[in-house]
Amino acid sequence: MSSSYLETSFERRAQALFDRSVEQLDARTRSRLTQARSAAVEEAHKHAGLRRWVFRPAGALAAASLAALALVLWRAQEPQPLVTSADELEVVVGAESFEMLENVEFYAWLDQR
Amino acid sequence: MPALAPAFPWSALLPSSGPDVEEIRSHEEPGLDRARALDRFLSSVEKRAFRIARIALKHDEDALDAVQDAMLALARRYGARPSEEWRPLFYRILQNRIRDCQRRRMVRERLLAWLPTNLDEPQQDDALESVPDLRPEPADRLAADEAMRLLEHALTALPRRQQQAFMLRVFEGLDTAQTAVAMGCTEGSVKTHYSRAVHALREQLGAAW
Repeated sequence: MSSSYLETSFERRAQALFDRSVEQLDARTRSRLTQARSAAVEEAHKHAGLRRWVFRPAGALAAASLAALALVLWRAQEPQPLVTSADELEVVVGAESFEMLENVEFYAWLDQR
Repeated sequence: MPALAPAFPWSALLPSSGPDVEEIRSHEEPGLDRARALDRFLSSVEKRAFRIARIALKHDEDALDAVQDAMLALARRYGARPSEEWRPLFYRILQNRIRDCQRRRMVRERLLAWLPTNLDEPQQDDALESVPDLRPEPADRLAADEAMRLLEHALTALPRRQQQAFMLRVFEGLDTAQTAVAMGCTEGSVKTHYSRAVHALREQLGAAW
């Protein structure tokens, strides 16, 4: 390790002796440290997977909202028939509902009648 | 039969199969890269962290446990943080583990004070390790071993905060700001603890060291 940041020879000597003692670590200790590191990396990988799983439902909700918005905008571009009854008004007003999405083809057909 | 209105173009919302597969892969690769980065980081600090814990705790197994706990805690709680934050965070966790171990030891010693056991006895984990090596050692190697032994002895005699500041600055190479994060104190406190540590060590070790 670089000792350029250490100001005195005392500090530099202390660092050199410490670095030497690190290099002399026995094989058993090194092996234990390697095992501990592997366990920690595995743990990090598991946690990263869990974060992706937690955020996936939120991503699906965002996609559904986007689909609803796209539907509204697409409908706005098509020539709209006049609303002639209270039932039809309720359908138009509630265009963002998921029930509307499920029956979109039925409502499109209804408009044509 | 009434003609059906044109169907809503749902397919326009769906990504094509090629980019979708690539997108999944690109989400997985950052996780793999991060795991590799964590492995590289821990590999770079594990031996020094063990030596620092060993000096503080004077016990191989306790030091290994402290380092292992610190690695796991960093991976669980801070694995997603920018990698440049890992070093001070890791040593902060390690210092906490060392402190916890020292406290448990103090409580244990008080409870078991009436038993005729000496917790400061040198460890003998392996019978082979206790057999003296009778090969002649080079003089400079012996001198370096002795100098390190004296330094360790002097470090263990320091107050805890001075010991921490010295080891983190000199042995691990943390700068003042990083040491402050690791110790959970201000940079001014780090400088004070460090300055006092250096003064105390020089006094104890003497000019000949």
